Amino acid sequence: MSTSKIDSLLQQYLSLLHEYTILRAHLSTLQSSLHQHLARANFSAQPGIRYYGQDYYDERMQATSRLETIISPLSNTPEFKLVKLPPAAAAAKPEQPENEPAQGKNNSSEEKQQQQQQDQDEKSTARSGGENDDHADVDQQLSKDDAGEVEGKGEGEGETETEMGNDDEKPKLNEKKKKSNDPLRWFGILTPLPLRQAQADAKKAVEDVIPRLASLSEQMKGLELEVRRERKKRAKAEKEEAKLKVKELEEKLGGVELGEGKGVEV
Amino acid sequence: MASQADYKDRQFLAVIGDEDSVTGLLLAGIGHVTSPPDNQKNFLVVDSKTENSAIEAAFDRFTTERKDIGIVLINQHIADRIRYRIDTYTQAFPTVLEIPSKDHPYDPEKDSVLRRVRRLFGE
Repeated sequence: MSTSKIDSLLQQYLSLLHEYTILRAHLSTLQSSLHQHLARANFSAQPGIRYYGQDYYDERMQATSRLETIISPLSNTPEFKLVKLPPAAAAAKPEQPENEPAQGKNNSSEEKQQQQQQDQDEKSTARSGGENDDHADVDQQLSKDDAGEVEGKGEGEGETETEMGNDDEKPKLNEKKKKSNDPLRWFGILTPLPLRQAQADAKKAVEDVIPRLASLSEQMKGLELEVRRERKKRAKAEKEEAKLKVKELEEKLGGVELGEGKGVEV
Repeated sequence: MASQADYKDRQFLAVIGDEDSVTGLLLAGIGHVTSPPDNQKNFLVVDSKTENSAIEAAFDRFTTERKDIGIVLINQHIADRIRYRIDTYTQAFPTVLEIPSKDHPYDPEKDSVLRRVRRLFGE
């Protein structure tokens, strides 16, 4: 009975291992694509940027997506999921610094462009990240060319949003303008396409692959423990069985010896 | 296996890696610096000059000291530098995951999960 249980556990374990191997290959592909894009971005770096790296990290960065851990009731192992924080929630986080001087040098029109880009991102969630960025980029360039028209539109959208059930419009608008938690902005307003492609790769890896890999690793750990426990149980049972057999044999042998002894006496 | 309080607050990923790997992952929006005066980062950029002790200290900080990290990502070639630490790590939280880097593709032989698999099948 214990052997069949071990077999079913191992079967489960192997299917998890299979998924793990596939995801590993997927992660490797994503990572290599990410590194290629980064290298391309660095090759054609914008003037003023030496290398897209740690020199430009925002020292007060805040995570835009958070991990959610659920303990699965079946296997009693954690399952990880990465959840994107809505921009408003990210701004409302207590850790969020009140004012961001890094934004000081950006003039207001650039901030509006960011706002507009975020609005568009929210609207077209069905589209993929890379495509989004492309469109946003086109829009940014558009707004640079004929700033008045597009900005006017952006402003209008902002106003309609704030008018919806809010007494203090202005502070909220300012707050919305100030925050820009897209890490791409560390490297400037108009970032090169390869850098945005690198970001898309990284997002895929971080949102889809890594949490699942971590969950699989934990599930496999749990199964390993169970298999070991069952194996121990089986070994114990086998030992006891062997002991019983030895006892039976001894008893039989003892009977034979006794019989022989009697024979000698007689 | 794990208590409620143990995993509830673990909402960040941590990264120990080379500059490109860290940049890539931070671009995805997982970078976090805690509010002052702590200013604790959830990442460490490792280059050829970084001492092994610094890597180990960061690993300890992410796995034992900080209670808000759920997954620690580490480049495989950096994990090799503190392999004994990774192999003896048995805590339930956070989960440690090795990831490939630019110059060092993923090697299944070194992956701690696959090493566990081999151990289970008695190799």
